[in-house]
Amino acid sequence: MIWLWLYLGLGLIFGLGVYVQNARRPKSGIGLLLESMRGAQSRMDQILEKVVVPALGSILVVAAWPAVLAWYLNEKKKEKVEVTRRVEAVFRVRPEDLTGQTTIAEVETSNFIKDPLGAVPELPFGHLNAVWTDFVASRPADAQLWTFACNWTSEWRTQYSRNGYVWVVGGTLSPWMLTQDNALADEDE
Amino acid sequence: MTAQISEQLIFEGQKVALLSNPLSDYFNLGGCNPGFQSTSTALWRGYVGTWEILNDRLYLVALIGTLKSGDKADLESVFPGFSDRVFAHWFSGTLRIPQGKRLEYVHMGYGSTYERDVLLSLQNGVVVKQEIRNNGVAAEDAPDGYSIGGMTTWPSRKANQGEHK
Repeated sequence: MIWLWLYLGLGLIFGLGVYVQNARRPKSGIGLLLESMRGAQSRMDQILEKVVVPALGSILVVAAWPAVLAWYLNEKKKEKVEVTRRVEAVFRVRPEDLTGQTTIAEVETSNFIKDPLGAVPELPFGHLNAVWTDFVASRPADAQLWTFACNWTSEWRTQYSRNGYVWVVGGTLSPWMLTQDNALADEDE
Repeated sequence: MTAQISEQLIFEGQKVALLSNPLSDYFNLGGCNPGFQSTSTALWRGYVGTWEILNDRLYLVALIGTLKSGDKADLESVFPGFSDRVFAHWFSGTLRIPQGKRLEYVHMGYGSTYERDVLLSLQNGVVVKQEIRNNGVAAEDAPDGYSIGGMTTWPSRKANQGEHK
């Protein structure tokens, strides 16, 4: 019998912890919006919301607190994975993406665009020359120019093959300039 | 989402539907985007480009749409000084040209499938490979050629005025 009381006691402490945490959490914008849209509640709705639902919830937490705790920890773990995924979805060039060191002169020679119909400015990177000149102007002091190639997955889970140039100084790989950005999964679109 | 109005391509002497957006790649690579106004759920990108394959090179030869300022867009809106033709040297990828009758209608993006697709692989704006993909045989009464279903449209607006044109 003592084990049962101990189990329920732990459940009560856990339930109080959940209650305090919920009470201290600020209401979300969507919650406030729904509340303002709902208008005046009937007496029955108020009893359901203020008494019946919390009472049933409390009984569930106290009686089945190990399951609730496992669910809670699992949700926290999923939340952490999602935050990590979103941070990694912000594109940046990593050291392993570097494919070779180069120079401004080499890049300008290999990317000089010509067209027999004269439909492009005869400049490095043609119609994208302004992107290149902005990139060159953004060179950090003592930075070296490198090429990079990588696959990158966006926040929307689309995978891209990306190539370009990046300024490298010490351990910093930035700023970068893209020369190819092809979606791998949505090629047909 | 709604099925999207296609780009146009002059290919082997004919104007056909092009289910690829090479100008999006230009903007993704940092090319100056003047800002297009969307006036339909079937044209979220806000413009329709006419492209041409000439001597195995991809050119943008016309552009229609409305800018966020309310002005009509043309080639010079994106490529100042180039009013007739722009070489699409920035594009490396596959152009998809649907052919034949429709096999399946998908009311999203360029998701519908057709009996055949002509696939042109380009590297830096130059065609390096051409192939035909056979996707199946459509029913006899299936519609021929690229088309889209319903859409919602709304009038274009002049910036800072809120006026409907």
